[in-house]
Amino acid sequence: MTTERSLIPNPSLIAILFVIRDTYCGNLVFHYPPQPRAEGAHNTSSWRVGETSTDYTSSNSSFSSSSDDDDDDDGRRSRSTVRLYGGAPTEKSAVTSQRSRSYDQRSSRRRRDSDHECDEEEDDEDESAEPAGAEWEHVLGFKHDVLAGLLSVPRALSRTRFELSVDHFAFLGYPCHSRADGTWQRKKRERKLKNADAAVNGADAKESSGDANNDDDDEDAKGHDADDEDPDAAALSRSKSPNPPPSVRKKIKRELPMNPDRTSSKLAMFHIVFVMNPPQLEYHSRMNDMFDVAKQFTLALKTQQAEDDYVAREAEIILEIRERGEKRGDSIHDLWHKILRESTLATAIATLYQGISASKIAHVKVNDFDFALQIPIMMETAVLPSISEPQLPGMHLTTLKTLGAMPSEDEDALMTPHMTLLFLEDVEDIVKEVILDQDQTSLSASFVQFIQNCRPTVSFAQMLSTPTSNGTTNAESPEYQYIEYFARHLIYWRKARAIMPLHYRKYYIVSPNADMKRLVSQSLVFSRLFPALPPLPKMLSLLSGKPRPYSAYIPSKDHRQAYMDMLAWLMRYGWVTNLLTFAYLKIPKDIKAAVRERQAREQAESAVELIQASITANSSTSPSTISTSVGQSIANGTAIPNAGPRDAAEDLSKLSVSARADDATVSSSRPKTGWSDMTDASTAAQSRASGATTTAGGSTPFDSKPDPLSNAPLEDSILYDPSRATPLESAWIEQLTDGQPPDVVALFDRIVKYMNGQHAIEGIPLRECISRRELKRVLNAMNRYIVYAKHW
Amino acid sequence: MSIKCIFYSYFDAEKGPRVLYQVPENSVSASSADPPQLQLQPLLVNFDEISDYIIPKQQLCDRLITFCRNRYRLLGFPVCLEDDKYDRNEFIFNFVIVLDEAEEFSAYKPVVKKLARLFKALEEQTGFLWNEVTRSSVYTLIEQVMEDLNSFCECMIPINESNTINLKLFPVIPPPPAVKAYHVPISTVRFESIMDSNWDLTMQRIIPYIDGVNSVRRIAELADADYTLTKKCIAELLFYGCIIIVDVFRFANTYAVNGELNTFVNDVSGGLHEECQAYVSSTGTLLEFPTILELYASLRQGLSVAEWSLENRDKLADVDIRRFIQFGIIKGFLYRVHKYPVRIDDGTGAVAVAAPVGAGGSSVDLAGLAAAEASVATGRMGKSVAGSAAAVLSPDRSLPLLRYLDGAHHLDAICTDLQQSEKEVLRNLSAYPIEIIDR
Repeated sequence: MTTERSLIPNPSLIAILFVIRDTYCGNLVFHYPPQPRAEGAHNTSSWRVGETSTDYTSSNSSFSSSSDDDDDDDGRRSRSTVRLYGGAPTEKSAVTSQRSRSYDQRSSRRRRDSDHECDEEEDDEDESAEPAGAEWEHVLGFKHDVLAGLLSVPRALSRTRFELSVDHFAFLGYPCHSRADGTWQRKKRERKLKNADAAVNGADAKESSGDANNDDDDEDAKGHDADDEDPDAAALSRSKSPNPPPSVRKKIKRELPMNPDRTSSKLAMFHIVFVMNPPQLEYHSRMNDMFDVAKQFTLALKTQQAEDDYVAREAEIILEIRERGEKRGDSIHDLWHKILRESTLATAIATLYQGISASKIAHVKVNDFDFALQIPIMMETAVLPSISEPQLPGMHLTTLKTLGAMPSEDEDALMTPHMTLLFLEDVEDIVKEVILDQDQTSLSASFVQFIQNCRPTVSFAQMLSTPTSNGTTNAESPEYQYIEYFARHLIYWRKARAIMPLHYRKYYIVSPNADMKRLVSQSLVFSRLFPALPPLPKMLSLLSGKPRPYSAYIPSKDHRQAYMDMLAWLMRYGWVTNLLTFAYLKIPKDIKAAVRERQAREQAESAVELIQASITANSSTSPSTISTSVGQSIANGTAIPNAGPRDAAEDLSKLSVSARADDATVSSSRPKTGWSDMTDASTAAQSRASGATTTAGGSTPFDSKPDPLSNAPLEDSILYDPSRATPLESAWIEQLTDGQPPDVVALFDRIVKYMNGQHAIEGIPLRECISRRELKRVLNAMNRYIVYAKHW
Repeated sequence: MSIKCIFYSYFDAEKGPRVLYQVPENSVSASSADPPQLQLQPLLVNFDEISDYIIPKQQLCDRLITFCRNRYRLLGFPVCLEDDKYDRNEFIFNFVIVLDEAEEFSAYKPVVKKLARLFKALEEQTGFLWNEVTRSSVYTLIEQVMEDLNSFCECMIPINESNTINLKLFPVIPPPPAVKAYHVPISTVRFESIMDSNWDLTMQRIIPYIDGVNSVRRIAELADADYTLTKKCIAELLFYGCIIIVDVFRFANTYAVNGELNTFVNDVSGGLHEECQAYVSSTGTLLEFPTILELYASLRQGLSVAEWSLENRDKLADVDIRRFIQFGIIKGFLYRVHKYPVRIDDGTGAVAVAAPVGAGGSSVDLAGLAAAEASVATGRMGKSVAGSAAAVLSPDRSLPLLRYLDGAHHLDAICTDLQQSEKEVLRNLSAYPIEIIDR
């Protein structure tokens, strides 16, 4: 039972520690920030801010108060209002919280002996707020050497997830030990033997996974083993970076002068520890997210250590500076300043901390090897938070299953070619970054070209230079594959979001999730960007009210481009969202009655045939089944008049189920609503289908008098999944198109499967390659049977 | 959700950290009596590998320490006692609960602590753990604790006349959201049946007014209770799920369906449709579901409930409109479209922020100060503006209404804050150039 993942980024990162162990003992070499605060960094995006900072206290105090004696309870409650929400689940807590104010003094006296969390917390705070002289000895309220001892783990725990929590600090890392022979990497020859088929740039990528198989059977299998490979490769596979990361190229260069049997360093272990303080209810997901980062970073360091003793060198540099500083009596800030200037590893740790703790992408550089790490964030949601749920202001709203950073089952493969990208930064900036990052290979050139060609108004399919004749996109075409690859890469690195192409004929509304707090600041930006257009509040006000196609707001054709640009901007910042239409199929009672009548007629006919057949069959060998079925239906047939009108709604099902007398219970005890009517019918239809000929044919000869059936109270109903219609439902659908021209019937059959409230009508022409006009014609013809709902 | 193992370990002066009792046997360390080949199953966790985190240095004692290993999570609370009678003058022990790593473990944290404190007290009083005779009952005790917690989530085991193990697992509930003045609580329980005279006085006063119509502010007013206390009471009720929160219902409001509609429609067997039919009916006549769906789907942006009910008056004959809307809100497939009045600057049309009356008398045009965006974003009001003329804007006390016109406040909030009706507010607003944004 893992806790639910929250959409709101909250890295809960307090500090990053760098611990090593040489031949003798462990040492906490470096930590960042210099004086970590116990609260950690929180995102300041919503009321969650409040929650995260109080969450721990409240959840814990609930336990201490409820599991300790009642007496303590009162006192503790009074000390903080947070506790209000954490008391024992009895109505009493509210009362005590009010009443117990008077106990305050008594309780503060008692507080000392009831050493629950809060006291400890306070103690910790005291400790962390040490006078300047002691700032060397303590980190996070722990003594330097205690922490070092705690985190320089024994070899047995190497190369597994390290997760330790002491009170409300969680320490997370991926300790790395040198190999038994003092080296850091399996020798190349050995490796090649093991992984003969290792991919070209992943040559040394498989190294650690090979290791893991051999001497690390504790490797946790919770999906982490997949990325137990070289971080370059991991980053590559994750981000689907179209270019080989520079590191790989550099490594190849560097490997040449590398002495295979160089002297091993004294370094026996290094451990990058992420100190976190996640809210209790999000503990697991926050820790798992961070572990991915921790592991990738550690593995990158390990590669560098294996190459030229990088980590050991950096540790030495830092320790030397510290020693000097300590002698001189530098303040911790001066010292950290010096360290950051001289040690690239310290800088990398600082950058990583700053990036990750702000929920941003951290571009780190270790030993001239650049890479980026992040905790992926959600960029869109289908669900609008209710009044009492955490708000996600500014997050884009859509129920479309758009393109994600990683291919997933959820995606709508038919639709993805018809999506496009909405850049979240200026295109020029993105291009600049790409060029800066990567060499001018042909791949990177086409990447840049893709970015420059991508328009929010043009779908991927339209971008393809050679559209196939019938308008369909071949999702398999290599060209499209590249587009998707690039798009996912940009989405993963938060440069873009997949959207339905913008069009002036579509409907856009002010997003109910728009971040109104940003209106003032954004209206200024808006007026600078679009000086010729109405100001932002005016525009949003126009888009309020009854939804109209976007073209209604565009004064003339000449303005169209400017208005589309503005729309893209509004979409980017979550001010507006695309209003889509969803359809449900309604089956009115007259249709049902018509189908029932027709079926009764048909069954009567077939029964006659059956009886004739059984007579002939009985005379020949022995299909006794038929005669029994007829016998059963006699029994059922006689029963039906007794059932009376109350059961009339079920008649239809009995009609077809009756041959299997034991099935009668299925339809007996359901409430009489439109739905039961339908579900019963589907049960019936299924059993009929499985029961094959005996059931279908043999059921009706005696109870098929049409009179009681036509009186049965039929109700309108919604057919919620036309794509999986039972035979009866199919008959209804067929009946709907009765009397329509054949082309309408044919088209309706094609599109009826989308009338389940999950597929936007706007997407149907793209999926089915039919024109909007045709679609409109069919929908108009069938208007009576369709219920439209409009949302995003 | 269950405990995999409980063990008792201590620091042996000669042998180092030991596991003395474990339930079940052979969970964390092999008993020396059995030769290794007789062990039926592998250890959950090898104690020797992790003993540093179970029996830590003295500085880390009396802290809750959890450690993950081998996909198990070990929760312990090492206790250190100092006394001359112990070898090396100190005695460190730890009662550890082992859970699956993926398990939500917060409920066990206080249990581990309490267990540790209890045995600490026992040891201090009678030398319970040090004495070999009394110590031998530990196995039975932890076995009982594990069984009871796994089966009943609580246990009560008497040890001697003055000590009892009383433990209970409580689930963690997230704290309730901040209660706002314009929130309308709807009760989900029958208060009259659970409330007694011991309840909080404010709570007793306000509960009669929780009727699904009154806002929090109005409840405080009607009950003649302090508004802050009322808010706290509402938050408390919300935390325990006794109420849910909706917005103020008025016929001038606008609602529209959202993406959750599909969940509602597809809820065929969950009884939601029947619940809806029964809930919204005012006369007892049930509406057919497709009609209900059509009605919900016809609610849209830019259409007030009043207009909507006129459009659909024949279908709504048997419907309690307030309950109809409320049902959609409660089930989450309907959302309220709020109105946000924004004061705009006459000249530029940008959002005008209320300025102090003294400073020039008119609103400051911020459009020319676009560079200040970053600083503007930091504070809603009162922000320093870049450039030479660093005019500090502050909320205008004399014109309370103008404070709300920066787009961050919807009409509900304004009305409840100012305790004015929407009509009054809109009339007062008519003096200013404003745009209304529906969100």
